[in-house]
Amino acid sequence: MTLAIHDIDEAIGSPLAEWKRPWWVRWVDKPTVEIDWDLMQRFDGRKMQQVSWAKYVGEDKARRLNKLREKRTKDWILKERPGYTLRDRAMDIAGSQSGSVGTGFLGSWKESMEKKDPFRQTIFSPEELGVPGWKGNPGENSRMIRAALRFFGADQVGFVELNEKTRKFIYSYDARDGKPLVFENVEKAYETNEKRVIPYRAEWVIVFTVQLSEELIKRTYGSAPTALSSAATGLAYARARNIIDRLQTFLHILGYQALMGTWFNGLGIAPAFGVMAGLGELSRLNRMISPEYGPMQRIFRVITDLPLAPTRPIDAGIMRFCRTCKRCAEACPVSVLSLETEPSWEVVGPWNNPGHRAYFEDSPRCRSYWSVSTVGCARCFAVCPFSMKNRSFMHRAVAATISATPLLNGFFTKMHTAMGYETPKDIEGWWELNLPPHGIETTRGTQFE
Amino acid sequence: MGWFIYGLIVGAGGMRLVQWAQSENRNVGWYVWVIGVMAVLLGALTLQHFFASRKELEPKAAWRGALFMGVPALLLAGVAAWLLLSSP
Repeated sequence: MTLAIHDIDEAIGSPLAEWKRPWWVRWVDKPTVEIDWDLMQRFDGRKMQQVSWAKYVGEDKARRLNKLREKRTKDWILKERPGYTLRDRAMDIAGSQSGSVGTGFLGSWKESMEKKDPFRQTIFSPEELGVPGWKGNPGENSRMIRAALRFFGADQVGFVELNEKTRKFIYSYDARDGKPLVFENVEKAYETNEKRVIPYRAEWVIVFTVQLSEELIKRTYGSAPTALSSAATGLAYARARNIIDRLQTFLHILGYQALMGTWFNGLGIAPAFGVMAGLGELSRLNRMISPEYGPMQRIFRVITDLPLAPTRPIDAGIMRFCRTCKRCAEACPVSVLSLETEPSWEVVGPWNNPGHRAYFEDSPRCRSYWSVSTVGCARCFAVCPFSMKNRSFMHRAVAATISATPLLNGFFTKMHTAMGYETPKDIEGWWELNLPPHGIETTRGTQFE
Repeated sequence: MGWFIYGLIVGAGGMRLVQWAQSENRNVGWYVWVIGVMAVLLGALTLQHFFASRKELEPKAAWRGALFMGVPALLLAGVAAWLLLSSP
């Protein structure tokens, strides 16, 4: 029997109305598996095989099989059996790490090992297992890290070499607990009560982005942010914590160090690393805008001693476009962003880091407005002409033109407003949508595009 | 599928127009075909933008794009049709 719907109102109001299934799927009253509700009892969770496997097969056999698993894990890594190599094993174990509540300098793998969770695979270093660490050339390593990070949930991935110049992007003091971050000629990173030490030999920074839901961030109340629109940013940070934790575990198993700050915005200046890694360009927002996702992403960075091939900065005409666009600055409810046409060397206050010519912003004013509006604001992100999906040919045509010439930049800014892209979207209507996971499109720049 | 149907309509329509011009011994200037092709291309872009914008959940952009590109496409098609019919 099919599901009974009596009139159009009922059909629209049905919880199934927004769920698009293939046309050949029928909703029915009973599942296709037969059920005898009289025979059915509540199941004792302790009987699950994951919990009681050893009881079912016998303790001796379970011990034998566990030893076999350990032996084969090691042997197959040593034999480099395809699909079971050290990096494949690292991927499996790191992928199942659920992540810590916050981020940590060295990662949460040590903590996870101490807990001895029987439902998690044992985290090991190559020395502990008695196998050689991962060895690859910088190009191979970079491709491996990009593949792993994409799998863990990151979008763009780039790499920056740490040298006497780029070390200036690393915070001198940890943003959260105020501990000095110092570089020393040591093999391994370590932490004392006084400082966190980064070895000079950890010469590479993995820089990656996590996408924000553009669809959600545009659900503002006029020019004011809402708790709903603010959720887009919160989720991106939360996802990043998890990704960072997995990356740290992954690199630990491969035999390398992976260092992060004590919170998601720790370690170093995010836009600086994003720009140097070529993920995007600096903008009027004094944040990075990327060709793929515009400003709709957050940037994260992890220092490692795994040799990587640095990626180069890019020019897609974005910074040039910002000179004349100014939509973000005009739309900001509390006039935080610069309206000057040219960027400046002069910082606005101590919250800015000098040494680059930028559109410096009045950050404390922005933060004060969060208290007034009760939520984090991202109105500047929402109105940015680069905050777009990419299905219409128009977006690519405009982006390609902007990259080639600034001649039409003014026209494009006007058209962006005229086409209605800046208009805040219906707040309550968001709950009726049937969006992809995390409310984002993840295939841009990938083989699935 | 949409593009397949658009291609069929444009292809069949174009072929029929050429056949008609030949059977009527019309002397159609080359620029008429150029204007016609421009109308078809602009029409295709209008349709792509319209349906893509609907999928982007941007209905306003869809309709305004249809206005900004669709109207010129129709005008071009009208000019091409008028020149074709009035050709000697």
